[in-house]
Amino acid sequence: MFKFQEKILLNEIKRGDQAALGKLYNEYVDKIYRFIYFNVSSIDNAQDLTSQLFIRLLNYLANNQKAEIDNLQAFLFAMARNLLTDFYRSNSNRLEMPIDEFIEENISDRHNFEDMLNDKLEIEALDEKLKILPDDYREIIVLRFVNEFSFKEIANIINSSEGNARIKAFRGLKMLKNSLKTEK
Amino acid sequence: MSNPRTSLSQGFKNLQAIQPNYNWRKQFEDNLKERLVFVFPKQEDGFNFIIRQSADFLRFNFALKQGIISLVVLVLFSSCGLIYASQNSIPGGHLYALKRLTEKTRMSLVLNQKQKIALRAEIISNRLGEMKELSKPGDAQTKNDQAQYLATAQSDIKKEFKALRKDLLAEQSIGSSEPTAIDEISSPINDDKQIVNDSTISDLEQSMEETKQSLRENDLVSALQKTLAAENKLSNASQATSTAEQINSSEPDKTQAPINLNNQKKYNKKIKSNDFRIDNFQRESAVKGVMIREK
Repeated sequence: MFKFQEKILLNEIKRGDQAALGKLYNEYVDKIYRFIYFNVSSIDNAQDLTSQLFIRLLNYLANNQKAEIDNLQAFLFAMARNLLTDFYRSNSNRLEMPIDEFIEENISDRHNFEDMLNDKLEIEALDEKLKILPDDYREIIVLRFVNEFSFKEIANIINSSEGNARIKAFRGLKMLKNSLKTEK
Repeated sequence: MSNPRTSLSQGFKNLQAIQPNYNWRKQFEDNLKERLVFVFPKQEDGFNFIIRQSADFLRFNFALKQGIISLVVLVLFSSCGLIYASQNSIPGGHLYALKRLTEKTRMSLVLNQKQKIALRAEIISNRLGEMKELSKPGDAQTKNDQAQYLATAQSDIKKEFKALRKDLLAEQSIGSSEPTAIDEISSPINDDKQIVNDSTISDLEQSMEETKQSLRENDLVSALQKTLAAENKLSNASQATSTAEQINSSEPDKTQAPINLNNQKKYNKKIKSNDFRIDNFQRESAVKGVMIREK
């Protein structure tokens, strides 16, 4: 979505246009949910934080009618990171990621049982490896390789330089490879 | 053994399949939209608001709209009808003032000098037509009124003749030294109470038709000559009527007669001198006109 389209959408939302809100929601909800999901312990938490994020966005727009959001994507992911920080603080004992629950829900409808099994194993394996990565590396890996954001977009979200984002992604990827190698 | 790089990229691809539960996604979208109504009550920008309000006003006041349109149409039609009807009215009629107003308006709206002259000639024709209508025998009750209206119409015609003559001269760009003499031409008969008779009016109408024809042919010199002739005819006729009336009135009252006869002599002298001036002026105008056309 282009920036001018985002601005139009935000203006329409401020005028109470439900269709505009639906469009914005559908554009970002999957990406944000995925980003949050890999950083929290469960589907419930991911859903809870994702819904909190959109409510926060509405409140922000209501309280800052004249404020212009320059980059909506960066704004939303920065908001998601803040939510995650708050979440980590309030939940010091992080739970295990129930990836099985997700796999049961999302992949079980595939016809080929062998494919399903392979996918399940791969997702489980990768998910396990992601968990061991430091938080800042993991979020960049998720943003870069799962959500397929550019380093420029990631730099905007994490409020850092593009080079720094590249280095972190490279290091995170290296750690993942090493862990996969040692497993094999 | 699979390549770790390939398996990693494949793994990331698989992770992209992670999506929120469809039901939760849809339900939360609906909740969010409901919340939006409370956070941002539906607004419209200024232009849309005005358009919608106007549309609502017209929709809910359909009867009023119809009434306004009918009223406007009625006023337009009745105005046009009144103006059309007033064109045949004569002095003393209810719509005569409207007729004069229409003439004045037309005169002020016409900017082209030639069209103005043609319009003035038409106005003179109108006045003559009115005079003809007024001079028809009426009942005794309206006789005095008729005489009064005739006098007024005659006075108006004289004014119009004077104006037409000036316009024609101005258009021809001649008469730089003549206006003084020309002004005097119309001055001998200031007594507008002397009304011209029917035949004179018919003659004048004929002259005006010829003048209009000349104007249509763009022959300004001829138009001016005919105007002067018609004006002169009106003056003479008026004077003759005045004389006849004075002679008639002198018989029963002899004390008034010498004064009237003295006046008559003076008028006759003036008319003779004016006739001479008009002849001279007409001759000069014709010569100048020919010269202008030759140029």
